[in-house]
Amino acid sequence: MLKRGLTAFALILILILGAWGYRQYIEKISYHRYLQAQYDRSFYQLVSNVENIETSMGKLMVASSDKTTIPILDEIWREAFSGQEHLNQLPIGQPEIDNTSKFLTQIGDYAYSLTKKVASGQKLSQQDLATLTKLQNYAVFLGKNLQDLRKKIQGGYELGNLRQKGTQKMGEIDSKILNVKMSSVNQTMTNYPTLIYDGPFSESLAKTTPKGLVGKEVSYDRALQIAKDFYGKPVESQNKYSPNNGKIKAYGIELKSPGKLPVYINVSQKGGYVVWMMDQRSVNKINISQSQALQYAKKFLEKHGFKNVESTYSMKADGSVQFNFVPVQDEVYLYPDIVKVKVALDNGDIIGFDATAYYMNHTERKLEKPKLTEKEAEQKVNKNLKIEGTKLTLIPLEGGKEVLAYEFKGTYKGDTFYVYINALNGNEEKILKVIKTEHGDLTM
Amino acid sequence: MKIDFILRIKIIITVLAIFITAVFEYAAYDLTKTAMSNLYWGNTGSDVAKVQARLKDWGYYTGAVDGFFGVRTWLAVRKFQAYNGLRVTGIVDDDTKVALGFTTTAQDLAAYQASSSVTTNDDVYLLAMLINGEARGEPYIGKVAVGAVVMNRVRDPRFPKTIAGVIFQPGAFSAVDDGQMWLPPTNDSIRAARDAIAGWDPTGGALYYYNAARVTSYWIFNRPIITQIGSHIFAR
Repeated sequence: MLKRGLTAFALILILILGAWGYRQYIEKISYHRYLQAQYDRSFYQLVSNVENIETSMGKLMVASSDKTTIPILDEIWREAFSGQEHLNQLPIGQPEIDNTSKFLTQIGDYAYSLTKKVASGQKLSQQDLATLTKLQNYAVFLGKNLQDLRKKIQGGYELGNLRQKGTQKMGEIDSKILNVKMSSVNQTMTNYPTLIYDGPFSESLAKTTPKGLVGKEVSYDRALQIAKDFYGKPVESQNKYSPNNGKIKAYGIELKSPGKLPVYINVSQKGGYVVWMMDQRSVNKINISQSQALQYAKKFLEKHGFKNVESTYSMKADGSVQFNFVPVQDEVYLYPDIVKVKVALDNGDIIGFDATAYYMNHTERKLEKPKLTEKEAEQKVNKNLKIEGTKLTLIPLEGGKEVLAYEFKGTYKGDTFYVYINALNGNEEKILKVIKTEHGDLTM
Repeated sequence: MKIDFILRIKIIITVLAIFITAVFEYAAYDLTKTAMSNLYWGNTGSDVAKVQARLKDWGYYTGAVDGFFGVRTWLAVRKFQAYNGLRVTGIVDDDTKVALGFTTTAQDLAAYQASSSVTTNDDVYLLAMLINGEARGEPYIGKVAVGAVVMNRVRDPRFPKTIAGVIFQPGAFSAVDDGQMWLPPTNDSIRAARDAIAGWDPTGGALYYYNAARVTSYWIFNRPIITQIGSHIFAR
């Protein structure tokens, strides 16, 4: 009796467990397939993107009028960015796709810069076409190898297939493009053109060196003294946290006041300037207003040698407010030389300071005289915009160029916009829209 | 004595098996639930409670405001519809919603279209979740640094061009792979995310970071090191 009961029980148990296990297995397979379909989609899209880039580049060689050139360039731009996005969604490690990814971004960015060139009335130069031909060769190479890879993984059900074979093959492709080193001019492979153009992903941008640091190298001890003076509060202990080898070489200094969280200060090795400071404390009470905070920030900057600066933007969040200041030279607002200051709203302490952009860009500039008057520039602004204010500015463009421009602040249908008109040739350089958020206004 | 013992074990195992199956079935069932726009018999939730409260205020409904669309609610809705010249269906559809003083689904949508939907709050929260998953135990500056790496990647030609693209790139962040990202972010993480998006970068342009004690891919050692913050080493 007992034995029979036991057998029946064991059977039921096996059935339940079996049913449960089977269900898990079925689910696993369906997720597996679903995921693989997603990866496959990305991969096949990538292949077709690269093929379309090839085709469009071919068309560009024979196109003669702007009306056809611009849409073709736009198509290259769109396909390249889409391709890069799909490449980055593949389950392949970053080192294996590093250069292919960069190639796609730059080809798109380059095409975009050419669009702007053609749109402004210029023609593609012989050099542009030569660059495009070389880029096309790389696109063909990439396309061929991707098709190879596609054949290898075709029909494979296993997810691991794309992952393993993909990693191996992509590594090969990547290392070939890597050997060519599209990034640097000095590489032995002279056939790959370095892309020098005005775009946010251009090589020229990555190679910039700080312009605003003058003076001799300073020692760590000197830097520590500079940091302590800058902080201006009693310091209980200090620590060299790690040298910072970013674009601006700096000493990392950690200062600790009694009973407080440490404050981090970076002092540049060249010239001994305080480039960056961050106080980690959080602010829980609000005792002072935003305009009071602005006064504190201004006083702070003046004390540390930033004269003639104006606040252009503020953002309030988490009990503190961040101000962006720009220097004003001969009534021109120098937007590239931005300095950020963060003020705690409980006692007006400066809890953040960032002059990285300032020291990267600031030099003694000889500003040109505007060729257009304010009235003439205003004529160029779209009539829909209700203009509220104007000032003369120096604005940074994509690719690190700077231009003198009139800034027109205006409204359209309740939204605020900034429109920049080149003060030398009257071109409309940039349009920014102000996005109102709970923390302040953002420009996009 | 011995039989008793075996029996007890058997009962425990049976109960366990049934319990486990039930848990899995329930979890699967729970995922299939979706929001409903029209309310009818059998619905539950705060929207039903709102309708009940309104009907009760106006004297059509006498039951409890319990958020359950039962027979009494159904009768009350029919009565309301009959008195107000609506089609007597017992379903709270768009017409009935308007008569009850609520907005319709279409009106809700129109309200969104009136103002611009561009916001950076989604990005802040997404980044905060990643920071929380990756650097919960780090000092505040280390949290900002992790956020800054994401922002630096967005601006680099080798990486995706959006915050979401960078965060969800397959295999890019371990907190995404092991699910730690989905823990609710602390206030510090949200503050750090906001700082990183506002342009604060303690790393000076780092694209990678690793915990020296827990490196899984040795390739990372080839990258030029910029700085160390907390237990993370930042590299380019």
